[in-house]
Amino acid sequence: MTNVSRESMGYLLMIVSVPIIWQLAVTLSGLQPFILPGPGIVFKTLGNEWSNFLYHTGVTMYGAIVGYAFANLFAISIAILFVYMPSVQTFLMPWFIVIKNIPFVVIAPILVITLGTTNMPKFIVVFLVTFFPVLANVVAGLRAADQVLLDRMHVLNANKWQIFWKVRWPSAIPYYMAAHEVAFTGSIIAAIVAEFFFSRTGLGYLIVTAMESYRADVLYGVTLIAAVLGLSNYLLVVWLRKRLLRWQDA
Amino acid sequence: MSPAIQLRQLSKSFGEIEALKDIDLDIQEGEFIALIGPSGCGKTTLLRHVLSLETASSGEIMVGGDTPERVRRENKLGIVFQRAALVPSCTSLQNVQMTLDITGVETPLTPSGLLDEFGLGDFKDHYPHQLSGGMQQRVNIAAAMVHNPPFLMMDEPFGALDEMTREFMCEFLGEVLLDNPKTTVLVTHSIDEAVMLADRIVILAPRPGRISAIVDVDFPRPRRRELKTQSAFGEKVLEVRRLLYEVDES
Ligand SMILES: Nc1ncnc2c1ncn2[C@@H]1O[C@H](COP(=O)(O)OP(=O)(O)O)[C@@H](O)[C@H]1O
Ligand SMILES: [Mg+2]
Repeated sequence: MTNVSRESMGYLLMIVSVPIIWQLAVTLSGLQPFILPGPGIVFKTLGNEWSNFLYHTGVTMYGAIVGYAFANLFAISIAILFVYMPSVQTFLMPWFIVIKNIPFVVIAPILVITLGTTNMPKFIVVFLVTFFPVLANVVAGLRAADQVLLDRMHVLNANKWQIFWKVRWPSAIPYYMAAHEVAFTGSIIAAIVAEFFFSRTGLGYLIVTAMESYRADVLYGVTLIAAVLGLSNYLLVVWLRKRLLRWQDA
Repeated sequence: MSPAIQLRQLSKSFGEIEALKDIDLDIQEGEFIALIGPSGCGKTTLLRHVLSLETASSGEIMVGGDTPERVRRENKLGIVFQRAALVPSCTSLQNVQMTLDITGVETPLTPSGLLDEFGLGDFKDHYPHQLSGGMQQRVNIAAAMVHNPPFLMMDEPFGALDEMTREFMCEFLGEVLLDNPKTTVLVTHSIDEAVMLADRIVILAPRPGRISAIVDVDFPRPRRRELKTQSAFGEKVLEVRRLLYEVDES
């Protein structure tokens, strides 16, 4: 068996096992459906209210993707500034370290008070959660450029632009992809948590209302959706990495 | 005619370390110089000065009657390091082509033709990690000379290769240079290699890095490896070895 089919077998096995283990847990524990609903009930809820779930999933994904896109834009730009103008780093680093270490669940309510119930607080929370890992990795990747290659570029009289595109950026790509693997899933988590606080839409909102009305089936439905989102995002990044870094295992 | 490379009282200190002290050396156009000496005697540092990768603490360097910096800007320098300076995400051909893209030099040599000549015709679309050490180094040398620079600097280019590959590469380099004459400086640890390739062997002594002896080698070219079986070759190797031992014991 090839490695690829062996890997897909593993995923397939997991997908089949989850409902079985789940049902077993329900049967063996004897818990009531309003505490631990079985897979049958949850899938039925998902089926009945699919347009509702789809809508809220869309809202959450929108918040996650917009915030994440801005985080990437800024993180990459600032990483490049750091590498080419170390004084910028000296100036910004203390600020970043402080901001990074304030738990974002504390920042979220403040943002809601300040910015009201717009999408802005959600974008900002997603931004704060994902900006730093991307920044750290891209900086590390740009700095990891092979010194021998940099010397060659210098001797060939390459300009900064050429050195960036031919040496520094290619060196940063694997680091950047590694950051995506963590940070993209992080963006979805951050969007959901941000929705806890103020939103009238999104998966986070669904969770809050489901808890208030003791809808365990909805809670488990959201959990399933979140798991699928996280996994597909992970697989997307793995696929992207394979494509972008084709030369590595060609 | 003034020498192609002139070092006048060249000295370089890194803090307390006198890497080079009062180096005086004239290298003629088209001449092949081998630099040999114990580790840390300043061979790399000397080369890096010619390449304008270091600035002298005192003394003067002229390359082609000009400063190294200006010669670099005119794209007249070629460099081969011990570790191949290849972009891992680019194929052999792209890596060689890159030199032309960056320098913008027009030469009669083509990347593809050069790789054919270097025996890599079937490996143009391979990535560096798919090539053996000897092949990588050939791509590296091709990339260093495709813009036909009048000055070629090599820092232990065959140091990481096994004995057989080394011998082959050495003969190969001799032939390539016969077809494309250049003023060449080769740093090497191998006395055989120095005697095989050089017009003059410069022996350096450490702490402070200085010239301890210069040996003329006037075997006719092309020099094939059969030369190594002749007694004159052996005597030359012995002469250099004795001088190196003197350095070690001083
Ligand atoms: N960038 C540097 N900073 C500090 N010391 C250096 C640097 N480059 C070389 N040296 C020192 O200069 C001496 C000569 O080094 P090098 O030219 O690399 O020797 P070689 O190539 O002959 O082995 C060594 O003692 C080395 O430690
Ligand atoms: Mg060295």
